[in-house]
Amino acid sequence: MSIEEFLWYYILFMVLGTAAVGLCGMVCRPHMIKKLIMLTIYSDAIEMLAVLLGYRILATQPPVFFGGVLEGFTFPTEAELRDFASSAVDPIPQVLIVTAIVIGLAVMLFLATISIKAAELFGTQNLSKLEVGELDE
Amino acid sequence: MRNRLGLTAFITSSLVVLMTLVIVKSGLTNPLIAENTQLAMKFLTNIPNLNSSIFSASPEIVTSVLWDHRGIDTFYETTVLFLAIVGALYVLEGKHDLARAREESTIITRVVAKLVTPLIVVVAASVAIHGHLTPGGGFQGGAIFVVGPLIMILALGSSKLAELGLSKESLLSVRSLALLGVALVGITSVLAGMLGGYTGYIFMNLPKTHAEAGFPYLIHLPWGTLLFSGTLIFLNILEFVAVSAGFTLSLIILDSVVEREEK
Repeated sequence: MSIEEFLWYYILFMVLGTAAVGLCGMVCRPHMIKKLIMLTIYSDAIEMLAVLLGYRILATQPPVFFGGVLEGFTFPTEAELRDFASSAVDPIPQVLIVTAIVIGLAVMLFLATISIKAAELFGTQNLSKLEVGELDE
Repeated sequence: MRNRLGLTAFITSSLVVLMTLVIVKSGLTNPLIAENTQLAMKFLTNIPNLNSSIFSASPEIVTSVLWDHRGIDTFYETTVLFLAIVGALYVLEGKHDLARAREESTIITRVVAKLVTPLIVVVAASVAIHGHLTPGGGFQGGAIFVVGPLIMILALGSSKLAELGLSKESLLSVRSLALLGVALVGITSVLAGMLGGYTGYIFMNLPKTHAEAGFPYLIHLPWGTLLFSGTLIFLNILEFVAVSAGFTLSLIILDSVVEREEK
């Protein structure tokens, strides 16, 4: 096993381990804010995993053709494009992650407001201290 | 309680090992493969290629895929954030008695916040406006922009933001107008096609061989030729305005719970 391969497996395992810590914390911790923090860690680890899946061992540049200028831009030739495509990372996971980050922030915002409302109504954000009574008519 | 914790730890750690095995063995990715997948190669070689049928007139593959090839999806994603903000405004309506008076920050924090915030705003605008040429785009620029109001709120309080004209009502209307602008840019080619007798589709960028109602991608000015990549620059700027107004509004909403008691 070469050193690059070892590092790659190591990073993959670490990212999945971080995701597992986030998942475990979301289930076990009773406090709402801790659940939110763990949710952030979990979603960030999964996004990191998706970026990692787009990596290739010979890739040396982002999926942006080098030298983008506003004025007098010339489009690349076929040979330049073949060279570019063989040395760029996969753009599709990055596209999906831009979506995932914004949706994740929307979910975070809504959960944060709900936890503020819960603190206001029940006086606690600890779910194990919440007493669930029967609803009155 | 302790049993449940142990069980959860066991399940998640076995899940990690299983996922690692699945990812490595199923060939989802492999460090020894040097080539990209076929879909990635198609995007990478065809999007900046003048002779291709999916040409987007932009060297930035990520922005092209985001706004040209899956534009409707990105539009609905923006509306999800809008709905989250509307829901937060609805839930946190009215008076709150959670508040605690906040201590005044030191002069160092206040001066540095005033110096750094304009720089952050300029960087964010540059990332968004050059989104079709260099890494970045509307979402990324908006996410950078929000750091400015966050520093201002933490150092000076949201009353300072209100002095700059960033109130809840104005931000919500700016956000709605920007979202409306995104939708209008999306249906422009359909409308132009209907008026001129051509074929046009929703969120279409450049003219195609079977649909002529598209946007141009170059503009000739007296001092030179500028590349603006059809709809990409308009959508990036509108999305930048929408995301920055939306996140600033959400920060003000979350801060209003603390700020109200102070007055």
